[in-house]
Amino acid sequence: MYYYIQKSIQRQKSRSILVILVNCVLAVLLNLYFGLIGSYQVQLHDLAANTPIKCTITNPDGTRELGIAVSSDILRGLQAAEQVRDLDCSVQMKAGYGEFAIEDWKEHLNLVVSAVNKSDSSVLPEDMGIQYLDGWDETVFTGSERVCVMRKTEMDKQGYVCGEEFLLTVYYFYYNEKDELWCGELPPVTVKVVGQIDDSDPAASYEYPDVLLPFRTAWDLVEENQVDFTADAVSFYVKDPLALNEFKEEMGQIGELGLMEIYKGDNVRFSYKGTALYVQDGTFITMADRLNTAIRILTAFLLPMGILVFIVGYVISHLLANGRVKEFALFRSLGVGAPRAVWAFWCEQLVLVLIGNVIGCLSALVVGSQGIREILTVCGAAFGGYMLGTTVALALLAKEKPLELLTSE
Amino acid sequence: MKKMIEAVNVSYIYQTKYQKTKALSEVSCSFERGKVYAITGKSGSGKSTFLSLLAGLDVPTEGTLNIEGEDMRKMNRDAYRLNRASVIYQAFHLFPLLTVLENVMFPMELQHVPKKEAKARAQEYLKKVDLPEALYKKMPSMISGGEQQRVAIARAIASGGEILLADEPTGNLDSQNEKVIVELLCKLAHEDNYAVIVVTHNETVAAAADVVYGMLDGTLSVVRE
Repeated sequence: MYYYIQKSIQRQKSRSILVILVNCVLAVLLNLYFGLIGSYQVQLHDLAANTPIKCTITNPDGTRELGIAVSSDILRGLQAAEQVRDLDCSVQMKAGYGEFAIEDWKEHLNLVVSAVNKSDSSVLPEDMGIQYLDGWDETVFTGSERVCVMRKTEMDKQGYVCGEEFLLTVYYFYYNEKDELWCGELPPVTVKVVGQIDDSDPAASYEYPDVLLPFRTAWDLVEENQVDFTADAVSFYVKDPLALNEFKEEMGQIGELGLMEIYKGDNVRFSYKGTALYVQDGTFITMADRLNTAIRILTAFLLPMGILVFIVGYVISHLLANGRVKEFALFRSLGVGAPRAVWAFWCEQLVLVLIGNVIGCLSALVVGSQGIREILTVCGAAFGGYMLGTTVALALLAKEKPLELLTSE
Repeated sequence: MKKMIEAVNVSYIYQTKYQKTKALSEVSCSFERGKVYAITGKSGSGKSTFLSLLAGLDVPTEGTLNIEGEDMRKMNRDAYRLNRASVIYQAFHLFPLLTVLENVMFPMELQHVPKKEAKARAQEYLKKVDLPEALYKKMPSMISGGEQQRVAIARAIASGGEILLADEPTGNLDSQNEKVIVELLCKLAHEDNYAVIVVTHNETVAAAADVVYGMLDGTLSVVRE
């Protein structure tokens, strides 16, 4: 029978080429279809990476992002949150050198202090040209040591050099019940200069703070004096934009009432309390929704595609088998059992379908965007679907009565 | 002589979704080796149905069909057609994709005969039916009707069986080729001891047979013995 199958494939060139071509085209088209789904999925994944979702703590009606009071409860919650990355916290303070009476604040309280948790904090100007002392770098701001970075002009004015320590009296800001801004004194603290800010260009550096402190250092200084610490600007990014719902659920657990999204309504009283969350997810959601819709539509066609492959296999095999009914009858007449005769035809189709799929695989590698594993999986599925259709078509052949087809009556 | 094939009250009913048709009605007859039998009758009389049963392509609805005493129903009918009984047709029905030689080798390939031996035997059978060697590598479409029928006969005897069934073997042939085929069938029966059973309308073929049965509306009767 193998000899017959071989000769049949070789000598029925047009039929063999048709089956090979159909399977080749099926394999390529299916790979393009799955490649399109894969491409959308990659785009969705890349969207998460390339379209970061920035979140900013605001006051309840969303009118202020800076100069608000974000409680330490909320800060701790955000630090521990799984869906938060690149947390950016800062607080603005005032300071003066050495010890002085509060009445002399006009003379002494001249230093603008920013306490930040990263050197590229959003509240700081870009490229401040900070030069660090040996053994120190930008990670200084993630710690809680009593260190600082100062403007060079200020250091020169005081005669300080990097590595030198000096006494600093820090004043913190807070809002009272009437939302009035007040200042509170902290005990003097010795700090070490570990870096200097290059402020040689007056035009560029007029906004530079005089002193930069690590955020945690400022937090500790305030809390050590039994005062409630608040940050005045907090922002961060959603770690996994594709898990936005999980993120919002997590945010709802932070703070006393949970970080709510901005409520803009007539009944919201103005307040400086940083208890609302502004999530800049509009663009991401729009684009992600579009991609998800496209993926959903395409995957909805999975079953119809599978059925289509089966039908193509069935129809082509059925049409080809119809033209070979007498051949089948002759097999039976010569003593070949129905299952063996069907099996011979099936094997012939198997070889042709396999060849078509291999060519289709290679073509898909050239024209498609998928990897070899995905292509082989898709071609395997196409092969299986087509052969299933072939099996059904050929099984019906077995029901034919041989002698009726071969005799003269 | 021992009966090769014996039909005892064989009836056959075609059953479709809407009706039943009795194609054969209590047919009883026997066939022996070494003789040529002709079954004559009009179209639709049941001749081909009976031939189909003799070839083991179906089993009787009623009655028994014995092959050398063995009930056809209990037999492996595919093996019977492969090893013991062969059929030749009016339309020859050679495999169009195989050469003349490959067609004759085909039954032996099914019997797992080694290729070399199958080829040698095929050539012998083709010589037996007087087919020129020049035609062995030709495709069936390249040879005449008479030559194709001779190839079909060679293929039929290649399986090594003892029963040769023929359905209007000369129906598509001219008188000269008809004579050749009839002589060949008679030679196979009388010299090689085949039981040759021919279904035919042709009087020349019927005249050459040793026994003639007549089929009418599904019933069989002896016309000449």
